[in-house]
Amino acid sequence: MDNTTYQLGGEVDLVAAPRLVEDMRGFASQTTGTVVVDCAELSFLDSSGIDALLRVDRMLRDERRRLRLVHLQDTPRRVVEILGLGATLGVDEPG
Amino acid sequence: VTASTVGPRRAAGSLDGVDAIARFNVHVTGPAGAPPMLFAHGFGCDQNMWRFVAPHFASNHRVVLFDFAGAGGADPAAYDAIRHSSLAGYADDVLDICAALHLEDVTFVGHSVSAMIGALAAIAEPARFAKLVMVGPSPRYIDDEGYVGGFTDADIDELLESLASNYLGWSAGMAPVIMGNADRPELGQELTESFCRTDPDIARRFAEVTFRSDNRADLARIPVPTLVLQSHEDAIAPIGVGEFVRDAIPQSTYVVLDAVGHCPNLSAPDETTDAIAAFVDA
Repeated sequence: MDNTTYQLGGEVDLVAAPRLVEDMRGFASQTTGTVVVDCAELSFLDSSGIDALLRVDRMLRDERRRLRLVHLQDTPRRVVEILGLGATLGVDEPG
Repeated sequence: VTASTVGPRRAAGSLDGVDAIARFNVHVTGPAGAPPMLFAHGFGCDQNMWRFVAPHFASNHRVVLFDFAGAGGADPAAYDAIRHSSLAGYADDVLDICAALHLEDVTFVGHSVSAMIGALAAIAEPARFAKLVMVGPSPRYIDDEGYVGGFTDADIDELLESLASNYLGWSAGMAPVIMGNADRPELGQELTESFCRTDPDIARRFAEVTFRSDNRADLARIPVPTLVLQSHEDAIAPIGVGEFVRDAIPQSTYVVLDAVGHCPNLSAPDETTDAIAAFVDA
């Protein structure tokens, strides 16, 4: 992985979301361009996690940068799809 | 959008006074002769969203609350697919309520999309309004050349498609995101329940009208002093949009609240109330 890929694993819920925002903002501040989030190990994502990712996305857009989620598993992918946020969060095609 | 948005369009479809009060579930409190304040809710909400803010003003204002067509306790028959195919139709509803109650020198307080609805109403009938308060406004949600609305065309396409195909699922997941304040899940839950009380078909159409509107050019035509209230970490109306609104309105006052999320009227009602009171009483 290159240095613009953020590894996101485990469960992102109400407890983990604030830490995620902080951590990703720190990561983004040390990189340039699109921030790719590798979600291969992400097993759970609730609305708190979605909110966290959107906050990071907003920050990046203010800097004319984007977020891109790759390797999203079925369960968290379904959450993103129900909310219609696939395009917003730059989710890649399944497979 | 353009002048055509607020052109001569009230010849057809206007409701008579009694109808307007009943149809839009209008509730009035406060002294009869006091200056009126009209509170308008946003997409997916109803007048309950003002319950922590509006009562503060009822001691010295005539406080008017109502539900837009398709929301809360409004008569389902109040919704007209043609009339409500643009925000101007919703502005007409506001003007009908003002006429029915004989309101003059109104301070209009609009949350989210209602901020722009209030702007259109004030442009159409300037003599009716004294001041506007915009809470979390956005004149255009989709990015454009030289303008960052926060969403792309593709974002909105997918959002609306999801909302249309699974409204309840979309509501349950999106309401907490719109509300922000993840550490206070009861707020997101309340908004979820409010979404669920909204007629899904009308919600879908209202969302379409809301998210595809472009009222940037109207901002310069707002004829009254206007307070723009902007929250932090607002997933719907980011700070840059608030600044755009501030700069485009001739007589604007801009306040950035400490509140986070798109609904400070629920999540930070005291701060919201204080900011509105300072502007209204100035």
